[in-house]
Amino acid sequence: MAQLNGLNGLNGLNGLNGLNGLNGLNGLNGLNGLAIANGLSGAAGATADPSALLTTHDGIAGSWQAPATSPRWPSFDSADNLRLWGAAFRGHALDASLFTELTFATSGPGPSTLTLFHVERRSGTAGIECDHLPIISIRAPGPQQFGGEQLRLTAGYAALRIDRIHEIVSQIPIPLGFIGAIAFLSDVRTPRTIELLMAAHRFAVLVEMRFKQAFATPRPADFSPQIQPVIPTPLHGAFPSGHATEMFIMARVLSTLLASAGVDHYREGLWKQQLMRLAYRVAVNRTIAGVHFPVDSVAGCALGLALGDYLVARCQKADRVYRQRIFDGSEFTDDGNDQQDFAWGLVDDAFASPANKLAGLTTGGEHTVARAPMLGWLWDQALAEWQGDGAPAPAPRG
Amino acid sequence: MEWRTEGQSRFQGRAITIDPLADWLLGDAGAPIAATVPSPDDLTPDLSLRVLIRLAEGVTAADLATFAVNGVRPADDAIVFGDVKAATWRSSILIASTYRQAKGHWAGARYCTARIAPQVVNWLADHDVLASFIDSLTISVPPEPLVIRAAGTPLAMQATPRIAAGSVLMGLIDDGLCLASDRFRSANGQTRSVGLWSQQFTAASRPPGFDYGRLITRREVNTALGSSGGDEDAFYRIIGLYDAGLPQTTWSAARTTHGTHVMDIAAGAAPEGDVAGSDLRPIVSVQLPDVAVDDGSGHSLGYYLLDGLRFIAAMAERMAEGTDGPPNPVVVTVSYGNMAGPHDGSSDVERAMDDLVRGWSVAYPSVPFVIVMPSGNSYLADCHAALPADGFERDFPQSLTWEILPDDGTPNLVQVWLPDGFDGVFSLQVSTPTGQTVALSTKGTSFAELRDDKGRLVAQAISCPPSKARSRHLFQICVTRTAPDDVGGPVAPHGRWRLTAAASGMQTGTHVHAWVQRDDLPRRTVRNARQSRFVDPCGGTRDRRVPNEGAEHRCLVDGAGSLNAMASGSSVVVVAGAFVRTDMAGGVPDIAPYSGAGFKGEENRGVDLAAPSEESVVLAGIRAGGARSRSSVRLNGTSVAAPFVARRIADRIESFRQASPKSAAGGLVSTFARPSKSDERQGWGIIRPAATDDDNSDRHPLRF
Repeated sequence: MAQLNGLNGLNGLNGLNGLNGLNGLNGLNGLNGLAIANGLSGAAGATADPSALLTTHDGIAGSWQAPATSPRWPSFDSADNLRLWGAAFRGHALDASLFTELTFATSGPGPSTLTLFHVERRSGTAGIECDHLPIISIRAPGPQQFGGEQLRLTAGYAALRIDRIHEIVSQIPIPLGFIGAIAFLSDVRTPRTIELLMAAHRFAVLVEMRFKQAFATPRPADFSPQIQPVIPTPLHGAFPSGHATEMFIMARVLSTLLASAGVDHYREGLWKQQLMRLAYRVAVNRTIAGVHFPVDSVAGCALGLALGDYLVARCQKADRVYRQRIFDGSEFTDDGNDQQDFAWGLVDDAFASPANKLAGLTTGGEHTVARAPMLGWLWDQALAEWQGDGAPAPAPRG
Repeated sequence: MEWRTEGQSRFQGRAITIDPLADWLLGDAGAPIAATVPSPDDLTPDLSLRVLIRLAEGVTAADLATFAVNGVRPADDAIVFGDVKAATWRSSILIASTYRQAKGHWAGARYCTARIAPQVVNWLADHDVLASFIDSLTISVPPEPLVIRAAGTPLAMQATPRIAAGSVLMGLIDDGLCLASDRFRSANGQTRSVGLWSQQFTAASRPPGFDYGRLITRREVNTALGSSGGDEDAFYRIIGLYDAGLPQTTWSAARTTHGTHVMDIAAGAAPEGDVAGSDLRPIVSVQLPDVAVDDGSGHSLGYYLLDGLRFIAAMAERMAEGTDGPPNPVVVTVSYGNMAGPHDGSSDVERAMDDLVRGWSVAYPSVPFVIVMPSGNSYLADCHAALPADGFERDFPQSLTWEILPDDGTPNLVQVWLPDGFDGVFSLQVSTPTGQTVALSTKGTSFAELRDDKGRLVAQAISCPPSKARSRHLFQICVTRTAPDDVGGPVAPHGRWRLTAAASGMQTGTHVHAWVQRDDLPRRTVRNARQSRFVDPCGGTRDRRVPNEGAEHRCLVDGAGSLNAMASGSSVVVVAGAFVRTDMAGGVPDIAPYSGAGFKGEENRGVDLAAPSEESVVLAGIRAGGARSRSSVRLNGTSVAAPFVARRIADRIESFRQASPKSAAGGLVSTFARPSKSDERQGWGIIRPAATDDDNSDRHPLRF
């Protein structure tokens, strides 16, 4: 598998670099080792030494006899073919399709804004025509905001380092173990769910890095020598926060998946609440660590939720609708009693209804998109892992 | 560097008993603690000094504030003493209106708090006429500039909370109190807090009668609980107690706080447990400001502590207004303390607590008001020494080695107390690690300052003769920081200072006691404090006793006498810490090794009883609530033993209607084998959690 994970070589130089997530397999490592990457082959020991196979073949194959029939033939470009491949290869095919239906442009409601578009192709009179449907536009706050209130908040958060240091360190790589503790993920019971979350994670990383490059926001340690982060400052821009984006897209996708399973138990708001709280905690831990400003997490949260909604929309068989979001960091200021701090509930409320206001975050129009067949296949597979058989268990007493 | 003895104390030996630290704080512009205090000769009344005042007999706080004599208020431009006009006096001293009333438990109060201009301390030293108003002044240091918000009226209590008659009101004075936790709520999800006074930040809604801080009402808490929808992070944000950019407010996001842990042991309960049980008691609490919490010496505490206790008493009275009966009983846990003081109940802080309890018991004879405090954690800290009278007679070297550590960013302090009624001659020689020596004496030099080559104050040794409110002679040595600061201020030599005492005319059986003041890091490492201590060859042994006569060395350092210096008052219930389990089968539970103890032979004053502060020798601390619902953390120390007793006292008060604090505590231990308090470490004995007789474990804060 070495050549497929070529980027890991780079990561090996800097083990603390979040780029581990670029290859979704490493996220699986966070949970259960390499077993899922190889299907279950590692566990079953279903491979053997080549030279032993050579001699065995010589011993038993015998004279050539042409078979009379053919194997079952795959349908052309059927998403169902995905079941035949290893997870990593599924991932590549899926990413190739998803990522080539996206584009970025420095256009948006205001200046210095980068927008992510979905490219909707349809057959038109002149051949294939494209509609560019905006998913999210982001503009960063200005240097005075970062260097003023944001920096003050970041410095103040350091008071919690003594409490959170273990979490900070263990949440440097993809915190899949933390998510799995909430929703009982396992490579044996829910391998497709894990794959889906890793696909969401790769999607988030691709998008967030493009945004980070556009703003190239300096890190807290660039502003002050007193921040002294407790982990190495990552080698990419601060805004938006990668951990926030990745955690919130995974939280959004997983809680939506659970709620869609058609099982009353997973429809309880408690699942979403705990997943969101976890995403929030991981994001805030980055500020406590001294490598992010609170507004980085606000933007990351908005980005993660927007990407999650878009991803989920592309998986559905019907009603594939998402709403455009705009986060204008220059508007993210103190307004009355509001602070420039990150509160996930406020972002989530603003996503739930445009009537709920959050400074800087606005909602645009709705867009309908085509299904992404491979992603949709993975979604359906993951969904089945939560549906189970039989009657629901009786409600607990009390 | 040399000692200079030509000076005199500005504030000792006057008609009014003034804080022995006053010379250090106010006398020298270079004194480190005083760096932020305006010069005392500055006539602009900047009300920056917080003080505790003992009023003269027959004087009320209202009299003091207005300079009224026999009920007559002088006119504003009348000269009241020296060349000071009444108007100047009135603008130089600010006493909260709550102290200026005379009803209920305030009647006859001898203590009040005040904010004064530093100039007032000079007046008290210079004008004996003021002794007709004031007996004693203790300064709550370090002083800080105060922002008094003129705008905003104290919050009127709109709907006065009512609590069930007979139910005990649990009081708490501590640091960060995480009210949103379900350990402090009723079964219906509403808070059991009837009022929280946060003394840190001043807001429009101050407690009635007090002029600083912010009162958080029951209604506010319930509203914030509702709108935060179970998200406790959001609760503290909504109610305005959390701002990530203000370090003073980040406690609510920490994993645990001292105050929440203590409050859980005292009054926490699982809300879905036995809701009819008395575990779900109302709580009234005071959250101390950082300046008091971070000051390990405890010197900053008195002002906030007395105000806090008065607030709790006033809340109990307010809730009884309009009913026919007296207030509900109150049990307050104050898990704080320090190490240096007279240890005989005569410090202003201790007397102020006794005064409050006395005033309450006069106003409400059948209703207990109980203050519970820990015995302190310094039994093994080598911070107390007892010099016996016969040691002086036989010319044994009555010498103490005081070790001050390097890189200590805070001053260090030793107090040497002569016995009551001493009328002989006592001298104390102080030698620095670098060989500079000075001798003070009750009959000779009473004031010495060690100054460096630039003339800056490095150390101060002062002899404080008995005065109006302090009957024992006190010697105090204060040494500045040993860690350099950023501005090149004076630095004291670190290492072994030597204190050599000689005395004649001491009564047989009496002792001279010396204490090193507490100087550690109670909460955070914001101050580079390091504890100094006495070095004694007996040090390191756990159980020090004076060896037989004729031994070459006498162990002067003694854990007996290491009691919390704020807990010697007659009305305070003092709790030592103990193990829940011993490691020996059939073994008897033991006292925690660090648990502070009173003097041997003076068990009537000292530890009353002991309660759990350690699970076992291999599992430290007691588990109780953290900052969020369903979180739990372990903390140890006698701080966690005191609230355990507070809860049990409340149980007994409700069950047996016992009136006096000591009898309530005594009733607790009535099942013990000990007939009396015969042990300076355990008092009446060790109270243990109910072992197996209660199958509803949610009723108890301790779950093993």
